[in-house]
Amino acid sequence: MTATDAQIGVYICHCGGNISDTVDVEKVRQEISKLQGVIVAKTYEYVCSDPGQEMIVKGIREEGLNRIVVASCSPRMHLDTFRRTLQSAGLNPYFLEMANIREQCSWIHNDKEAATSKAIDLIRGAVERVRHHKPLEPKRIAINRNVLVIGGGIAGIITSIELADKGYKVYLVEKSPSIGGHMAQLSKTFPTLDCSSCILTPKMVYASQHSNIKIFSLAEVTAIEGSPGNYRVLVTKHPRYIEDNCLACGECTKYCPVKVPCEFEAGLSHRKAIYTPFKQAVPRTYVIDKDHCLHFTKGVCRVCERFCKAKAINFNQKDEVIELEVGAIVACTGFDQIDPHKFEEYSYGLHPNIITNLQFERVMVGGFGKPSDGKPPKKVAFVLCVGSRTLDENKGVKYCCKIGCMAAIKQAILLQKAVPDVDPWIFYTDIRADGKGYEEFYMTAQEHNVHFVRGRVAEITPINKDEILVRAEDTFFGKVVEGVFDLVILSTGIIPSQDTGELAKKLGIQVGGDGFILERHYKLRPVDSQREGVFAAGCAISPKDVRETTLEAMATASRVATFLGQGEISVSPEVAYVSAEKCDNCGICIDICPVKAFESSSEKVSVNPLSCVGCGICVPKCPKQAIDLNHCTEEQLLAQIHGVCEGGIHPKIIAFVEKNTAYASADLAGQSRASYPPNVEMIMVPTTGRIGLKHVLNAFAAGADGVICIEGHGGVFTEDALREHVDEMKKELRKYGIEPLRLLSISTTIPQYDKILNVSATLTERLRKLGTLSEDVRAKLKAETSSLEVPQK
Amino acid sequence: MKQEIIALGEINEKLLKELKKAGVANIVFCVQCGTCSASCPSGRVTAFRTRQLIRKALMGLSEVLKSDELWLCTTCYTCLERCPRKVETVPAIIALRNMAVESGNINPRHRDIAHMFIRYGHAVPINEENVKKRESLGLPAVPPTTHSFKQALEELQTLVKKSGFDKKVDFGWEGQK
Repeated sequence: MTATDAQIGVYICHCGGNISDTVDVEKVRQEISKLQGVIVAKTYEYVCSDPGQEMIVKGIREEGLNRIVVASCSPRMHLDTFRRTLQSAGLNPYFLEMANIREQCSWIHNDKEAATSKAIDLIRGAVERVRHHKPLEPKRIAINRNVLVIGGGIAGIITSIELADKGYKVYLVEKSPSIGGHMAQLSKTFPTLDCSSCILTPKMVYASQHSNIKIFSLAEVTAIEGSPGNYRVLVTKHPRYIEDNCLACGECTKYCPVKVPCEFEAGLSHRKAIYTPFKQAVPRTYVIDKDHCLHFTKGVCRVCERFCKAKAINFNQKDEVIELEVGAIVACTGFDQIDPHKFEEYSYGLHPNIITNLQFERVMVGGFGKPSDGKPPKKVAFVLCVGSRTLDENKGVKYCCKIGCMAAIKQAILLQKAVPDVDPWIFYTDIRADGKGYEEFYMTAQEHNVHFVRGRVAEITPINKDEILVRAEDTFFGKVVEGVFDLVILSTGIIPSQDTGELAKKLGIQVGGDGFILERHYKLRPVDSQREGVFAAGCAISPKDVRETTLEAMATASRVATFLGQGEISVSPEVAYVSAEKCDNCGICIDICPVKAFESSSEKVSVNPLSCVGCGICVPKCPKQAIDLNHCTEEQLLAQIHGVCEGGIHPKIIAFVEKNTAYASADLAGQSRASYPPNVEMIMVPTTGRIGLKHVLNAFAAGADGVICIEGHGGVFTEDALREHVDEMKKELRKYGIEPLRLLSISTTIPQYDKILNVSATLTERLRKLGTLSEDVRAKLKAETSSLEVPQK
Repeated sequence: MKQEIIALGEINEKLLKELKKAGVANIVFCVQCGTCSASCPSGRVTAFRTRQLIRKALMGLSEVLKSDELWLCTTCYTCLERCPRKVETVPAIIALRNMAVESGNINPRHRDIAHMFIRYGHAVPINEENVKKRESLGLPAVPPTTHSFKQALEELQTLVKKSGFDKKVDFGWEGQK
């Protein structure tokens, strides 16, 4: 069936007066029935009702219709309804197009003549478009039931255990030699004062012994391919240089001559070049630090080999690449802390007793001795908000670290218990105690003679070996206070772990401005990433404490199980495809695709239809015009642009509107009975990244005087990308004699529909001053565009 | 003792607007943490509390323009460097001082400096000691500034008159050549 064979039926809805009170539906019907290929044009009280749908079925079965246009409410309301109608009549559901003459016409305008003229334009666009529609079928793909969990901290461990207990096979990849993460370094946890190791170690052991969990330690994810439900992952397992028959007896460590600052002890003490990260490490197998071992650095020593009873040392181990097939991926990449060296006024590094709160955890486990001399401290200052809650981007981060207050309170209480005559002082900006039992815990600290000063510390000055001066303002008094302390603890801010951004790129997911993994929806899909089948948990998403991390890990495991439990996944056919004969394998599309849907073989690039989200950003960017998008093809889009632009009121504005957020926002404007000028006519697009210079020029050639791109906030086509894209097009417009001022772009959220009202009013006003596009320019444009771009009717 | 009660309806909106106009709109981000006050070298020896000054300005309290402590900042910028919220403390204080001067409140010492500037073209004019030092180093007795060029001083004084700066700082031209 080709476009010329199209037998089109147009059904115009009164919507019980909602439309017909403002739009002269009979006039619309008469105008539309004149269009080529329109066999049937009817109006009806409620097209969505059973008799209304019956009318369409009859049209298909008895009048030979093979394309349907429904002009009614928003497709967001009834697209699925009418697709089912087509299907029930034996017609492919993609042979439908809807014209939104309610939310974006009758509800937004009062002027009947203008609304009628606009309705005609919108329906004409739909008719011109639908004749080019192609039949499409969604695909069903079986899902692999295995899961990859990246990161073996508490988030990764709980996620793995929960999934393994539900019967899913889990691969847990940890980059360091042991799982356990930061929680393994903690002394006790607030507010219950559980011993951190005592609650964590059993979980680590359980995970390591679980028949459904396979742990890869000292390993990292190097590549990811495939699509939701079927990812292929390459994991590089780095050598430990020690075989699994290691008895973990520790003899080797005794004789190793090399000392290295110990990561687990937060740099407060040393480990050897052959070592186990900590006593409860999982796996227990020791590891050789290649960067420091004398055999690797200088080709000497190997003394460990002589003392190893198990003969487990093997200097010849190599990187091992393991290929995994999984259906879902969970990023549990955790956090790092801000480097306190950035704060010169805090003198970190200039005195051994100025340490971070993580270092103090290790001091507590080690018996509360000061780093300088191992003796218990007498007067301790806790300095909160180091690098948190700041607008100074060079030094810190905007957000609250979320754990600093409670961690300092916990440390002060534990310190009081261990060293009864100690004098702890907490300098705070605000005490944030908003968890279960937290405010009570704060009270416990007050009961335990912990002193609180409401003021952020201004400077820390080492005086001598045992004296450090701390200065702040007690903001309640309005007086500067000073104290001499022998131990100062900095609560440093939380940032995403170093490799988060890199990993996000590999996974094809987004991070936010703060560098943390961006959730699909802040409230309703808080552990789903922007990509189907990829999830996250714990501090990879935002700073949080152990309890909240556990909660999130359990939520994530549940979401993963829901995803995998479907057994198969339905894939929309509205995806991009590459014409092999036009593609010259330049790779631009591979770079710009936000979800890594392009796959490149040695000669050609192709789209993985399972990964593609159908955003269409790649289409206008392809220099060879080799890419097109199913159900929003160049032909269909250009036909619609020409259809909509043909008539109407000048200055005529075409708004390309992103189909989810922005379109819903425009609908909401109608539902709220707000108003924008009737010369603004909207065309739904998957994202405004789908629109290229060609479409803008065609709009101008076909009758538009102005163009707006309205994008939804938070989607794959980011605000920055939109701005850059539109700026590029503006530059090009000048070459055609079109003022760049005629093109505008905005990004909006659903409730911010006033942005749409404002931009419509602004551009209308501007175009009234600027005048309609000059007929010379338009004629020239027509000549240039029509030769190759305008589809045949 | 009677407690002063601040009526929240009567805040000086103009004050905030002026501050915003002066490019220090970000004082709204202040969380009153006190880093500025405790960093202030002037505040160690005076009653100056930067944090409170910013708070008063944020509350739109006109009294800030009459306060003596407004003039105690040495504009050393330590507070601004350390402020976690990047509040433009010093430019805010300068903007407040400008407003204070407009409303006729200038610190007498600052006014003296302004008079020196109008009279000599220098906030700190040359003195005997410096003249001697210059001569001992083989330099002309006075530097090539308004001290040497009477015409330049006249130009400066013309500008001062045109801009109305002289009136703002109560400068009397009597006795001037």
